[in-house]
Amino acid sequence: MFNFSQFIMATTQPRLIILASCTALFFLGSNPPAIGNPTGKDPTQPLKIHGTIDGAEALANQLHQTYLEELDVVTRMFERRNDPASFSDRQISKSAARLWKARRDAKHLELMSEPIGADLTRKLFLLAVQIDQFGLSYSRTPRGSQMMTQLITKLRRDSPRFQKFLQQAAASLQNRNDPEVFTKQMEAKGMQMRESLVFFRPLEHKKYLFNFDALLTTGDVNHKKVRRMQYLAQANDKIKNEVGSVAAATKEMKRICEELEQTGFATLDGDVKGDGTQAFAQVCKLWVQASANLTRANAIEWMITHQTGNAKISEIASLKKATLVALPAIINSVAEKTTTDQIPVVYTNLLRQISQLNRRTTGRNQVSQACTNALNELAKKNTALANGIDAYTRATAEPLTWRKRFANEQAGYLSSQQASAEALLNSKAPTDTSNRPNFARRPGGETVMVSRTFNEPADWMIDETAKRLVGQSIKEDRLIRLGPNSPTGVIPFTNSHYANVALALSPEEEIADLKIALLIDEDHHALSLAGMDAISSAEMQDYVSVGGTIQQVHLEALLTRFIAFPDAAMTLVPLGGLPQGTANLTPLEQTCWRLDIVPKWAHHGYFTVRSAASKPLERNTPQTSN
Amino acid sequence: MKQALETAKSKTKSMTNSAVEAVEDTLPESGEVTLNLQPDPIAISNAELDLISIGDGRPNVVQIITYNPDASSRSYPALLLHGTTNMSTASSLAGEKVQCDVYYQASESSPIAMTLPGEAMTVAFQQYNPTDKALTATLGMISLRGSDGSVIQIEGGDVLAVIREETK
Repeated sequence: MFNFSQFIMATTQPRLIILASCTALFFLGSNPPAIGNPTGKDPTQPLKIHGTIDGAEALANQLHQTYLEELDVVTRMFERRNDPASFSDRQISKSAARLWKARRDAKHLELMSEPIGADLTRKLFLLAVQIDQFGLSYSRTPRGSQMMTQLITKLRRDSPRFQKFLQQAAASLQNRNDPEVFTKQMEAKGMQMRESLVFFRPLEHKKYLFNFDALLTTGDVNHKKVRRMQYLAQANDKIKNEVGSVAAATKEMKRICEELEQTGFATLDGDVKGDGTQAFAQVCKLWVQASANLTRANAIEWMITHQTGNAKISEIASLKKATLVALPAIINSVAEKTTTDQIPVVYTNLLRQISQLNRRTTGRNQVSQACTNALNELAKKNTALANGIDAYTRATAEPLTWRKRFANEQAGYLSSQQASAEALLNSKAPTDTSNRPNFARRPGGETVMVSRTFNEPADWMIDETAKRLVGQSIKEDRLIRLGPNSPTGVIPFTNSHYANVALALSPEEEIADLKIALLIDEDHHALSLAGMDAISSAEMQDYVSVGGTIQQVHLEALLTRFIAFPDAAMTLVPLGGLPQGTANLTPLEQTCWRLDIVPKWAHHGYFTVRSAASKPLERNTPQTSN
Repeated sequence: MKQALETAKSKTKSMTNSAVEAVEDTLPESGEVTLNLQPDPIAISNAELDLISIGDGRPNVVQIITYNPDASSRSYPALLLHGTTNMSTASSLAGEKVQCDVYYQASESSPIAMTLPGEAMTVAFQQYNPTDKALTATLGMISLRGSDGSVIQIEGGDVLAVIREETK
């Protein structure tokens, strides 16, 4: 089987610089998420952080550790819940205090817009409910009753000192002292109080806390204001950086075009002088990088606005416009500066780049449409080439038409055996909750396979979804390979999920056959866009659709996926577009599921290919003329 | 094959008997294909041959088409034979054997049939008729795969193809 974590470090190829840029280690982003996302195989992995706000990672790691330790405590105590006398009052006190603080810290992580914060809030609440229950149960045991007497005495004795503390706290609030210090001191005191109060009924807490909660709430409001301002500034700085890079990329595109127009060469990465085809590839690469910049900036906007509207849609459109101005301009310069005998080589190089880029944009033919006139002008400079293109188009049009229809029909038969991703992911099935902690098991009802929100602890969600999805057959549309040497293709993000597909099929025979029909050999390339698209997509294994088996499921947070978004993952978002979250759901709570799929068949535009293990099509009887 | 040519000619004539006699002589041959399918052979009453030269050192393309590729809808049964040759004119194909991909569909609702990757039908061109600008050929045996997984066996056949154009 395929190890999907080995995400591809393919070597670059000059003719496909844009695609090579997609072949870096896929999910190791520029941000440093130290922890992985939960998977069906390892549901206990915490959700990754996106780290937009300084300190989020350390806090998330620390809180996750606290959660694991307290989960262990609660699970063990729950086993002995019918014998509360066996509980340790010290353990209950310690856990109550830690959970009280941890729940506050989880809220802080939420303020940092870290999805793991919301997840930890949910998990820690469930633990706190159990610990409170254990505290009350223990207080009713003979040993507990004795302890309660001592506790009441102690609380009463400490009360004057506590009230003095509260007066000082109130004064601190009044004087607008440093909210950081206020919070720290209140939390220390709050933990102390929780150690005792966990054994009391909630109604009795007020008797000993006086106005502690009111003061803390006021302090929290003040502190939150300060933190929110800080975090907003940090987030805006990051957006500014991303948008700045986009402006630089657009400027660079213009410079490349101008230099090429003037000299026939352009300075590209470093001090290397590149020709027109290399300049073309460089502009494509800049488009990819700048699109990744805007994807990240857009996702940070989600975090600020608490909505998944796409704030950067006009910037994405401007970037596309700039690119689609630059690309034909480069072809025009190429037409001016290239000698007649070199035009066929340059023409086919550009045609290949255009076909690859076409498949990676939102509207599939936008790049070719923008470049058609310039390409035609280029071809006209070499009469033999121009005539050859016409003849080639006529000589290959009919086989292409037949092959496309044949492949469509075959794909129809093949896909009839598989549920579409949308149907499968939105279907309902009974839930097996047996892997939940002992205190949370319940009879599993029917739920939607894939939830668009984090409505339960992430580890339960992934476990229960993976158990239902792994091994299921699925059909996905539009598979784009990460890079020319990559073993993985991607189904771009849509409807709360994306997929990684191991390119385990062997289309060599079909490619060889297609090459014969398209008159292609080592010295002769496709001359029409349709022919080039057919062969370049076949060689890249970019497929129209794919059917296969779900091998693994990963649960990611939408925000994290697109904020901690490496340039190399740009294949997930077709160029010229932005990922679409679910309207009316808060971004912090939105999921992004990743499916790992092992293909059984794939539908290329001009053939289908099946895995050796999959059965041939059912009907195998001789057919008569009609 | 002569017989096929005569049959096609007489067929065309019979179709135009009621038309104006004067145009009869200039009416082009429409060509014909007989495919020996099981259990009954089928005849397709149109076949044109294109020889297309790309001109950049690639072999030339020979294609025999039984339908009008420019029409909005196809006529059925529809057949395309597509192969390459080093001959530069259609007339010089007489006596040549060309390996062709086969594309076939009996009716609009039938599965499409194609040669398997790596396989090809041998088309043996026989006689060139300069008057009618037509070529005859015999078709070899081939097993096609259907888009529904079925197998379509062609036990040979005959072609009378009208040469449509030559591009250099």
